[in-house]
Amino acid sequence: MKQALSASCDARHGVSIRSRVWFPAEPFCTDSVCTEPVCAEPVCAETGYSVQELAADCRCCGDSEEHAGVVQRNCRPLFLNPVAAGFPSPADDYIERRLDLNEYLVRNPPATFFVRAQGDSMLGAGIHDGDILVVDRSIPPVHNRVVIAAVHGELTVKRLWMRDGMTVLRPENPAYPPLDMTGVEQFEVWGVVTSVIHSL
Amino acid sequence: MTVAASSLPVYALVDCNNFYCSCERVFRPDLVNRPVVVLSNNDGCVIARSNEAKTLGIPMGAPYYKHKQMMERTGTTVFSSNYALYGDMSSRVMQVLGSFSPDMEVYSIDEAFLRLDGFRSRDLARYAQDLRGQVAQWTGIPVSVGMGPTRTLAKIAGRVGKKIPACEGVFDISRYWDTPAAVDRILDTVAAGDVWGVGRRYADMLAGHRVHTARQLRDMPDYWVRKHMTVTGLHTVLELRGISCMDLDAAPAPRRSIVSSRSFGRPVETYAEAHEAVADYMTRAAEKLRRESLVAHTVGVVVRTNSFKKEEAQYSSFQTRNLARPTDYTPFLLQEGKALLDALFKEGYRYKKVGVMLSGLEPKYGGQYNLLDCMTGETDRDKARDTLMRATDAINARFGRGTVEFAAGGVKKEWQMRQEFRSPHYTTDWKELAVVR
Repeated sequence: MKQALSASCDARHGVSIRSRVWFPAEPFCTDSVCTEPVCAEPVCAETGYSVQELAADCRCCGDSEEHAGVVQRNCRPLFLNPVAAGFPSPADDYIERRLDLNEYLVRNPPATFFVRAQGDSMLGAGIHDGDILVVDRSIPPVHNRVVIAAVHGELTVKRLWMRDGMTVLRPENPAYPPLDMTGVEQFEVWGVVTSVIHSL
Repeated sequence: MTVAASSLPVYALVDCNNFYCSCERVFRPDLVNRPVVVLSNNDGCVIARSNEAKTLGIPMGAPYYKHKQMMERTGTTVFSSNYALYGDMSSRVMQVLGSFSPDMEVYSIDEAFLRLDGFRSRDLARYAQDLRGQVAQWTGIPVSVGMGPTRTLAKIAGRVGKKIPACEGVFDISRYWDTPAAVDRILDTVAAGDVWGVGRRYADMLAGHRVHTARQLRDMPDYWVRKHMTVTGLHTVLELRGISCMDLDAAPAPRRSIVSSRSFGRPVETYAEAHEAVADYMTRAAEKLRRESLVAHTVGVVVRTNSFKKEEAQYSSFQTRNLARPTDYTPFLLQEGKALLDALFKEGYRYKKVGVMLSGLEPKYGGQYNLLDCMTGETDRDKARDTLMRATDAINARFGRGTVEFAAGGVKKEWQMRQEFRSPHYTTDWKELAVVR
């Protein structure tokens, strides 16, 4: 018969209710006076009541009267921890975190923004219409990086070409001409594209 | 003022310039150097202005309809407030700032105090410039930095620095600490009412005693300040003298109440619509409550007609109810809200605003358990309720606000506030990302 760790058991044997959550009870009464197994079932830590309906005597304190009043309480168990049954999984010691794409794609969260590409001017760089671009504003825009640039008040994605004192934004599609930005005032690199997210 | 500047603490106030306008500009480079304003909830009045808009003479708090034509004529770009965007940009700025000092207090959505004592061995002005540069580069938000030996002086320094272009957004009042005459001159440029913590009421009282500038306030005798402005005012005055009385609150003070109230897009006359609004705001307030792991003891509801429309019948009322058990469970709060509205609502008025307030807040897990609740099974049912709320909150967090809702909040929500000019939620909604060509 399953037994409950009741309030009275608790008082008699000093079995501690350790935390205010459900937990599998001590398999044995921790009091040196009592060697009987007390509670084989999880109990409600708040009430100390059994999750089972307890009809018989408490084996540990031998008192049925004491428990009769409390047993009517019907605590439904909510298992935070699965009760160990059978053999432990051999993989238990090797559990690591599952891979997180954020970690892979976003190196510097406060400086990283997502934008959506429109058009086909960067097809050669693998950027298709509707793709999501990961943009890191903390990376210095150097020669040959794909960047988001603000040109005449509009955001555009192009490859940055900086050589021989020239600054050019180059599309990666022969259908579009390069934009010479040398000396253009209304031009600013907004951020550096680090990845393309393309749905198939 | 005998203390050497080198042994004083260093407080820095970092303040985002015209924060809401700056957020809008990050994704709209076409608006750089052009006038921009942001309107309050319901597109009522101007709550943020770019420098260009300030130059045009658009006053803070100006009703939109009064200045609409002028804004159109001058090519001013108008935005409804987009708090999803501002909140996200703010957290980015704060995250960057956090890497510049171990001691930081986020003071508001666009301001933070940092302690930079440990960086005194470096060139502080240079350090502050690096900070400005990094925030601007990483987030696109321009900030200015004021530094001083107390928080009050740091705030003044920030104000002064903004007015002097040569400062490039960084001003450190401690640099003048060894030449009191220079400090006097700086404090003379600041109105007493603009000193942090003084406020309008005290400003009027001070003006009555011919105290007009921060310097005059600083030089008032302690007993006088204490008598007229309480001990809090004395702290402010001591801070003006360079004696730090307010250290950083690293952890924000626990909330005392949560208010969710908004004006309607149009007047609401029916009980059904008012009830929808109460339920909708209550749901939002309850979400906030759970997000901060709090429970509420008291629920309040307020209803109000438009007091600016003198020709209409006026009515406003506010009532609260105490709960037998503190809760964060939306259905309970909805019931209380409905009961309160039933008591408050009167037919025949055109309501402008309703709101709900949750107060008597306490930490959810710090409270005492009630013996009776244990006996009646209420504690178990609470667990099931928590599970339900966690699930709805998680769904709404993942798939967007309002994915699952309590029907009491209404489906069409025709009373909802006006937001004609809202910019996209660039950083919080996949469907509203900025487009690049």
